[in-house]
Amino acid sequence: MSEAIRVEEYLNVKKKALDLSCNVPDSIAVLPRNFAEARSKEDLLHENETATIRTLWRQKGITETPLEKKGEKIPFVFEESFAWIAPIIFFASAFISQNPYLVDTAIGVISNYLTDWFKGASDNEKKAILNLVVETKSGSYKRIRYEGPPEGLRNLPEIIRSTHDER
Amino acid sequence: MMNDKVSKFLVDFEKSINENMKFLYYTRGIEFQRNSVTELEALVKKLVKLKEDMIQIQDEESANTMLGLEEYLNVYINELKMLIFLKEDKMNDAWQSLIKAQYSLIFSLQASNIALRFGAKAHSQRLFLIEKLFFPPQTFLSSGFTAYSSKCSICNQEYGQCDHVVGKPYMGKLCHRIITNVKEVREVSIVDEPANKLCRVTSFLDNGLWRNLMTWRTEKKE
Repeated sequence: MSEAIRVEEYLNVKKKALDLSCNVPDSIAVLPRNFAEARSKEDLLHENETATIRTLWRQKGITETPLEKKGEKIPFVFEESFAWIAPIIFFASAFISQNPYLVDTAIGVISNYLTDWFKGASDNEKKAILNLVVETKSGSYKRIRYEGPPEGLRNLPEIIRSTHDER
Repeated sequence: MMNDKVSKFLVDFEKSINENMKFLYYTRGIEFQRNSVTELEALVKKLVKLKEDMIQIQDEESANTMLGLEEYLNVYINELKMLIFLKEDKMNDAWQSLIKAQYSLIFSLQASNIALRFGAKAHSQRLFLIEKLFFPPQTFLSSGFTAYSSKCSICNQEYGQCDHVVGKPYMGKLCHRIITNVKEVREVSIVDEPANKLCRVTSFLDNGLWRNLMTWRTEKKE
């Protein structure tokens, strides 16, 4: 299975979070799958794997700033697919510049999990889909879409950092 | 450090695998393949008993190893059953057995690395090739729904609140999610890469008759 990485513009995450009356993420956060399109907080839907990623991060001491305010709950979408579809992961500029190695930890823990997850699958069938949103130094937002085998995730931290440094 | 009882069992396990793998070919006599299934199923019973002993003494590594072996035996059993069903002209059952074998292999290696020493990696490729060479392309179905909550199968807490993670082994059991509060069913879609290859279109209406997609024969539907 080959891998594909695409980088494109994304909307202002912090403004959108404010517009939706959500917590404004200032470090790392999981965004709902329809974050860009949602018109109200009630429309938001998390990917099925959100809870898994949050647990993996918690175990590694990575503190997320969730969009949900205390006591709020965003429903999740369960769609059966052999591919492992991650939620959108948001990296705020401060998170990348203040903790550059935590980017490796945040992605590495997912990469390790997926390597174990797919260990018994045929090589032809291993596929992970990740969408990462990076706040750049200049305050713009870029989305990095990765589709390919779990082994390819190890290249993402460097791509995240170079996207962050873009002017 | 592996438990002595598990180490001893591994010797019997390896011997049994080596003796039975020669029947994983279509040309072998069906009577040998049936005997092989019976023999391996008896071994599963012994294995499950030993796994329970390991759980009893709270030896998690050994319990997970036994789970890995149990699932790996299920790979052999289901692959043999697939061959038997093919010979009996039961094509839908053959498909089910193949897919169960594929999933057992995934579960085996999620539980433990132990099956790697018996060639599990090559086995996954073999099962993939059997699917592509023996069976016609399938039309798979997948459901989609939204839910507010799910529970952890290990501790019964809200999934995400505890430290258990789906697909990881805990004291001889793999963690999975139990969806508890469905908000709405969204869709049933046709997909290329389903999570469950058992969910598929089995027949279609062809000039008033149902045509079986596996055999191409027409059949009556209740």
